[in-house]
Amino acid sequence: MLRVLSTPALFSLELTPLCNSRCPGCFNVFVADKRTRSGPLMQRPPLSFEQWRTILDRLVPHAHRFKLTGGEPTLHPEFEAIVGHIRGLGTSLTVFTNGRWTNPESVLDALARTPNLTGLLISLHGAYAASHEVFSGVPGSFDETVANVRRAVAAGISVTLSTVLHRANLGELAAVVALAESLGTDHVVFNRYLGPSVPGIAITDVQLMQATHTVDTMREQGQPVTFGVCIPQCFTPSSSTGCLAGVAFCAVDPWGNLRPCNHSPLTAGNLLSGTLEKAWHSPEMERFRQAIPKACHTCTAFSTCHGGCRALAMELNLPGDPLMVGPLREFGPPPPVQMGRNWRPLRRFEMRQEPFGLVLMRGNTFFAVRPEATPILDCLDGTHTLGELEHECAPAALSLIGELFRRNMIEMIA
Amino acid sequence: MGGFPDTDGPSEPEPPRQVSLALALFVAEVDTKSPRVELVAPEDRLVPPPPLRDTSDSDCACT
Repeated sequence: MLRVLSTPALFSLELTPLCNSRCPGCFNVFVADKRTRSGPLMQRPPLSFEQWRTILDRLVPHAHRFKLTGGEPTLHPEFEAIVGHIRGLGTSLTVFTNGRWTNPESVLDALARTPNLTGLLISLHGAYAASHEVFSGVPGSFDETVANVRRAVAAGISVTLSTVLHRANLGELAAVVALAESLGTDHVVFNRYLGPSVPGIAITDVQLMQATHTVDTMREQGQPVTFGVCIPQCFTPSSSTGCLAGVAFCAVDPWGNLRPCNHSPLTAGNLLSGTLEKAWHSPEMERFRQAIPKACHTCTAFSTCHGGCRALAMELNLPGDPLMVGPLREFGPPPPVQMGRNWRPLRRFEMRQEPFGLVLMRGNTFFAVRPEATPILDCLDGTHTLGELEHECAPAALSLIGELFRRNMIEMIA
Repeated sequence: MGGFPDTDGPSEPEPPRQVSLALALFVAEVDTKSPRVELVAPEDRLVPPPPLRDTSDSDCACT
């Protein structure tokens, strides 16, 4: 069973289908011919600023965060105006870009003046030009992206690197993290490659398993690394968590069509000509939600893993994510949480009321609780110690606070 | 004499089950487990982690 939000809260807005990189493994759904990167949709003009403004104004009551992507979002001719409008709306914003900007000064000026910009997610697929450019397909793109990462960091913008695990960078994952630190970025998100197998890019399952363990070892050592794309827990246990597509997250394509995620070509209604609610609860979205294999519902990792990548399963016409092996009988429990009795928890999440309870949101992290948790959440204001809360509340309260602490949704004051 | 244990006899009472306040968005048909929480006494001087930025931004795409 899924507890689907009444309307989505994370919106990935694909401003344009165009991109100035030539990634041979591109999973851009707008490209009909991967080799020439062409197709009818690539010729179709994206929505104008005025049209995006109409959509943004309709989405803002529901939005916890907007994410601008594409294609390459900065190639939208009115990118700065769209950022400016979101600045005025005040909704949390992130921008996912390849860091290759036609006019870096204009892009950075618009972003640096946006206080609600949480950060940039910039694609860098290797620690060196050779490995990065095998993936990006553009000579010189490594230097260009690195230079713009430096500029963004210098402008005071938080930058995260997004690195797809591929054949040419498997031996340099630690070097990617070292480069990220030397550039002053926050952390590195490692992504499993999604899409049909491409020679020279795709890695074997054994290589992915080894890379997953390497990333988690770095994470355990305190390195700033995470996973992006979900890696099914039955493939290999990892700190990867599942995606929220179709439950809390959706994409909006360059023409205003709602889609369950960026990797799925499925469209579920247009946001200029119809309502968000109608599209979100459409038969197409329900079909996407039903794409989770039945066996996943009997898996002890389901609430963490979320059933793998549904878009890839549908794209490859498979019953489930191709990495899946089968339901796990024993998963967890999570590692114990240690907290000081004198610590005072302070909430760092937004809340949203849903028919089934409350949804707590911080960034891309969503956590649902029963309505009975409300009095406990009210106490997370930085004035009550955990010792006091343990004494005053039911034992379940401490367990809930431990979960929130583990998920980085509360801060602790000593 | 072997055989099945006597299920009708007296047995150890089960401890009261703690109802979790958390709700999964992806609900499994089986129980999922919460982390064990330990409170450490102030004299042990456990230091809370520094305020963390929201580093949850990730994306399962490659731009």
